[in-house]
Amino acid sequence: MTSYAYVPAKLVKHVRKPNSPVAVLVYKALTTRFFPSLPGHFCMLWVPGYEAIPLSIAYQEGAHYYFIVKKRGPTTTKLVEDPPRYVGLIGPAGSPIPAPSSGGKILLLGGGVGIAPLIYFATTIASYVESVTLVYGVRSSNELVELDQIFNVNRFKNVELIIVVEEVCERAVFKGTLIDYITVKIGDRLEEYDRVYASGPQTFLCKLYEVFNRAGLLDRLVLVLETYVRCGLGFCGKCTIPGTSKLLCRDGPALSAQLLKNWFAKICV
Amino acid sequence: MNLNIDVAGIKLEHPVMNASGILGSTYNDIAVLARAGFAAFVTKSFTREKREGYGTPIAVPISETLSLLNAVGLENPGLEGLAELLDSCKIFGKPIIVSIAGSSPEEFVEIAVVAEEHGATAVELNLSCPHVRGRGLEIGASPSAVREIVGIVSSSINIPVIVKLGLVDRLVEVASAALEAGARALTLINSVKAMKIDIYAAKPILGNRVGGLSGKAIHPIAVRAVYEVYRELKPDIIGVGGVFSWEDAIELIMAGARAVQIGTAIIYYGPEIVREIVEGMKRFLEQQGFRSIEEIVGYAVS
Ligand SMILES: Cc1cc2nc3c(=O)[nH]c(=O)nc-3n(C[C@H](O)[C@H](O)[C@H](O)COP(=O)(O)OP(=O)(O)OC[C@H]3O[C@@H](n4cnc5c(N)ncnc54)[C@H](O)[C@@H]3O)c2cc1C
Ligand SMILES: Cc1cc2nc3c(=O)[nH]c(=O)nc-3n(C[C@H](O)[C@H](O)[C@H](O)COP(=O)(O)O)c2cc1C
Ligand code: FES
Repeated sequence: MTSYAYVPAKLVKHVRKPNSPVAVLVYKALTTRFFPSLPGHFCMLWVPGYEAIPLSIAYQEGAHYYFIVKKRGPTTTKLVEDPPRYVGLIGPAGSPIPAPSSGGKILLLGGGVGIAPLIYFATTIASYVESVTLVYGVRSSNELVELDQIFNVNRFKNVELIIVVEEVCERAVFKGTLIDYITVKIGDRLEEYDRVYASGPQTFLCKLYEVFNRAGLLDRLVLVLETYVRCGLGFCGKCTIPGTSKLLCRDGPALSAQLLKNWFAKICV
Repeated sequence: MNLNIDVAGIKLEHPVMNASGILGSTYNDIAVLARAGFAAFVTKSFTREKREGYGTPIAVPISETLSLLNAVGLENPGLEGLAELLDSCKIFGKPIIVSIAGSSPEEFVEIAVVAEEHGATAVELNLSCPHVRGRGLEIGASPSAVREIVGIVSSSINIPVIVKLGLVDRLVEVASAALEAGARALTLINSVKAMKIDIYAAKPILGNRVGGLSGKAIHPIAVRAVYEVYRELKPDIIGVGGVFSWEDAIELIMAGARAVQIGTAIIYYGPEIVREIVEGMKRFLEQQGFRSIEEIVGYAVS
């Protein structure tokens, strides 16, 4: 059962490398009636004078909500370059990412700002799974968010952060795309992972679906999808996930790849 | 016990349908409602031309009172989309009521005719949208405008015409005009014109600034509206406004409604809430020794 709320919030942190298209924002609720979230939840973030846009909650600590935003159009550009002092948060939207039922080795693959929900997820499952491998892929180094500094990912002994960058970058463990990483570095060892969660650009999710389909491992894969979101509250029907009868803002954004056969046929082929 | 009832001549397996504007724009929306177990489906309000709607946010929850403020802007796929929607939704085998928000008598007629041609069970004329100028509340506040539109639509189609009214000063007078002009039932009430301001941003939150308030906060208003119209005119009424539980539904029925619609409760609790409401109504009737829904329609009205 969802209990939606509107939460006025104040900017308390803005982290951005010079000229980076990506920024980390932390907003603090200005009411005690703020909503709690779980990894996978997103919210409609209203920028006064602009629009309300769907953004994944990258972490929540009490009244503090963390976001990772990438410039795309007017609202995201405003948020990255000159985030407003006050915004409104409407949420929590969507359903939590289905957590692994027990132990096991977990692989998380985040492309670009798609990493946002997976950071939150990694920090909540770390306490009870065997290991979490968090692979974070970006195109260029200036898009890279310092996850270990901002989110303190290193505080968990069993979480390994692997940075993958398409161009040369000293911070990267591997040069190439996330798909390259899986092909070259993981290869046949894919089945060593009990569960794999991926979030990022659609083309990446499509390729990943193919890889897992070929390996006969679709039942282990969960994809975090994106659709156009308008109300975020489950009434307008705009966010229907193609090839399914699910609403992204109610049933998603994370769905088991097994349910996405028709999605794949419609979107990826 | 079954909860069969009819309203405007439409046979329902139980008295709960969705309210217009909540999941009634696409085939998938109706599929979601069908799976949840609604007795009939009401579409989003249609206009002749496709409409894009207002800027976001289009809705703001007011959680303290389980309420919602919305200004969607009558976003809908237009006449072409309506034909397609109705054709595809026949497979659900349940009554489908097409909501219409015209800006002229001709537009109402045009859409009603297409709805009938494509198998709609009834039309619901939205004469009460609180936030789109020239469509809705302005028409619904004037007995003469209501008489004109309802009259011309009723004489143009054979399926039942339901008229949806909102919070207006002369509600009984307007209701009476609608019934005299041929309405088979009234849907009461629409959302109530309202605003919410973020005091830190110092701005109204909705993209359209002004919107319609729905949910628990308006339930007592809906009960009063249904009660007064029922007491004076005894028409078929579909009660709507803040139904979140079976108790709320029974209350509207005792005030004179034969069926209820739910909107905001679907948003807060999900479409599956319909089952709980229906089961609760059944239990109540049994425990209180009633034999049918019919018996309690207007039971509290004196
Ligand atoms: C569930 C979900 C979670 C998201 N999480 C994040 C996140 O954590 N960080 C982040 O940077 N971005 C995230 N996005 C994408 C973000 O919502 C869009 O980049 C943003 O809406 C673009 O708004 P704009 O005004 O800047 O650009 P616009 O000019 O409005 O749009 C630029 C492009 O963004 C896409 N887009 C626009 N509006 C929407 C919308 N309402 N819903 C989805 N896509 C849209 C379209 O492809 C469009 O072409 C998420 C999207 C969804 C659906
Ligand atoms: C998001 C939203 C959209 C709505 N759109 C319409 C509409 O298109 N036509 C209409 O007649 N009523 C519309 N309504 C009003 C509802 O049908 C209903 O009358 C009102 O919400 C009160 O019921 P509730 O409290 O159960 O939500 C809308 C309501 C909401 C919340
Ligand atoms: S955006 Fe999901 S139903 Fe409106």
